[in-house]
Amino acid sequence: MARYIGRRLIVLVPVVWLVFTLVFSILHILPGDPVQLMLAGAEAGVSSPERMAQLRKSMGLDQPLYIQYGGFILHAVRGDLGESIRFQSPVNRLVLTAASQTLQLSVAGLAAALTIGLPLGIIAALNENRWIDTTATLIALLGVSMPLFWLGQLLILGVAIHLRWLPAISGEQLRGIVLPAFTLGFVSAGLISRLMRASLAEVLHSDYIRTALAKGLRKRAIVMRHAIKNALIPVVTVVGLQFGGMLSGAVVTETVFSRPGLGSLVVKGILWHDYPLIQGTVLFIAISYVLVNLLVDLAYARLDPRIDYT
Amino acid sequence: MQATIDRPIELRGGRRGLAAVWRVFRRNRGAVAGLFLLAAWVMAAVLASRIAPYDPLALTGASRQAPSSLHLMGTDLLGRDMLSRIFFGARISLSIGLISVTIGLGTGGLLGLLAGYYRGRVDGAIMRLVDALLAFPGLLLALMVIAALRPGLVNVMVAVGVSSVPLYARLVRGSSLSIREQEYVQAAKALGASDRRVMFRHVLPNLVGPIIVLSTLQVGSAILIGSALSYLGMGAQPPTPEWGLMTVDGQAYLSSAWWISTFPGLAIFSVVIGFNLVGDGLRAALDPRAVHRQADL
Repeated sequence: MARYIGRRLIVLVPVVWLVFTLVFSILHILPGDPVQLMLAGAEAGVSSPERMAQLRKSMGLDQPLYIQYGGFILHAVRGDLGESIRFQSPVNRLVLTAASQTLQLSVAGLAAALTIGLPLGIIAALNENRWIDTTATLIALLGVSMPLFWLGQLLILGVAIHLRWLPAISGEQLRGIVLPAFTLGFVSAGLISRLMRASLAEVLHSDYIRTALAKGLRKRAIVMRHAIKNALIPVVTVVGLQFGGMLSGAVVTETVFSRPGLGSLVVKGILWHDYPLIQGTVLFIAISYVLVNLLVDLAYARLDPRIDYT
Repeated sequence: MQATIDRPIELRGGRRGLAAVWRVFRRNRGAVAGLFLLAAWVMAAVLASRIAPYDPLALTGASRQAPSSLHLMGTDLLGRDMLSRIFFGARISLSIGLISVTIGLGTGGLLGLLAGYYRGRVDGAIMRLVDALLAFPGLLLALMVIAALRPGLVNVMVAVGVSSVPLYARLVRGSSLSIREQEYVQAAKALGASDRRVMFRHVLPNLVGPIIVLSTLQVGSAILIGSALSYLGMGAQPPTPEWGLMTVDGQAYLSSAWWISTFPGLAIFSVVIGFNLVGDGLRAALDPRAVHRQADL
């Protein structure tokens, strides 16, 4: 196992290096003078030549490109992501605060996805090709076809404005996370239910389930004790990948519900031309995503003894 | 010599294949419904200037008028006719979908073909790049391209196209790895066909099925991502009648003027569902091996 982990980490090195390079190049592909653009966007006024020169110097933009590149990677590896122009504070502090918000939202979103997706998939598999199965398929289709921001708006309209059950804007209280979590989790709920259905249906048609039936065990006990456990294995991988994908869905969800977080930080950064903020946040999200996917792979290798990881 | 190997097989297989695909597709009720839905939207886009009751940019009524016989879908914040804006919006969304898929397919497909055909170092370098692109989950890759190119409708098409490059590269690479080992490819090489000829005449035609399936589904997801980018303020700018942008106007007035964000959202939803239904139908008819995709939005 240790060797397997080691090999996976080595393969990641070039990928991570390319990620750093891509993020570094954002600022340098940009048409025009980045300093002028950043100051116009972030400080929203006419910028004096002194301020421009000062920013150019503090960001190291007056240095040759290869020194900037090396400096960017060295600093980022040590966790120094530079300073946000708009917020006038270190990007890594902003990113970490936002990350805890996004983590809460992602966990809640995943919980929503599992609460809806797993039972729906199980019920569908137990009622293959009946109306409830068709309904589950339809819900999955709705999930992948619906714009997230629109789902959020519909929930605000229905649940928050008409029914007055939950707040439309998520504040400090726990109730505020319910609608964003449902919005974020809905797409995954559909995918999880489809996968759970397929996986459970396959298990239910297998020989050892027939043996258990022949032995005279009750169907309920068989499903609960034998089938679901085995059917869950392929679902776990997808759940892990979905969790990583929630980092992307959070961008829209956080904007719809005016929640602070990594997603809204990137969006603000782009709208304000705050390039250190964009680069730092994007880098953080990408590296977290890569690590989450690695952990999912490792967890999968542990869960399913049939996978040979030598 | 080469002509006799290439052509007769392709042509006959092609026609018979198409009829068979249609027979399977026709029996899928969802797929046929999706096809009608898409046909309706294409008509709306093409005929927008004829069937729209008003100019999509003109102020034709009071602000936030509820749906009525004068304005079937009501009016927006500035008093523009929602229905007309939605018809014209179909042009924008369909263009985003088609152009970005073309960009993604062109770039990703070529990278995948080179990687799968040449293998070795070329493959290694290309696939590491693809892995690095995949490190930016879904919307984030598109956002990063927007950050580098600055917001705008054309840049949205490029951004969404770039974010689908990894999908195409992986699909094409995977399939061409196995196709290049087939006997007819070996035969073509033995006859002295150039690399380019083998790639584009022998390998690529065999990938048409899975590519069509993936592209149909991708047009739907490109429209989703594109509208999300406009919703975030990264894409189309006012007063463009872009559906995602139109829902932003309505969000502050959800309680008093629900129609402003409900109808454009419904439009996006129905176009995307059309592409997904047709894509699933094509997959069942064309490509028995499932094409996996990840929905990010």
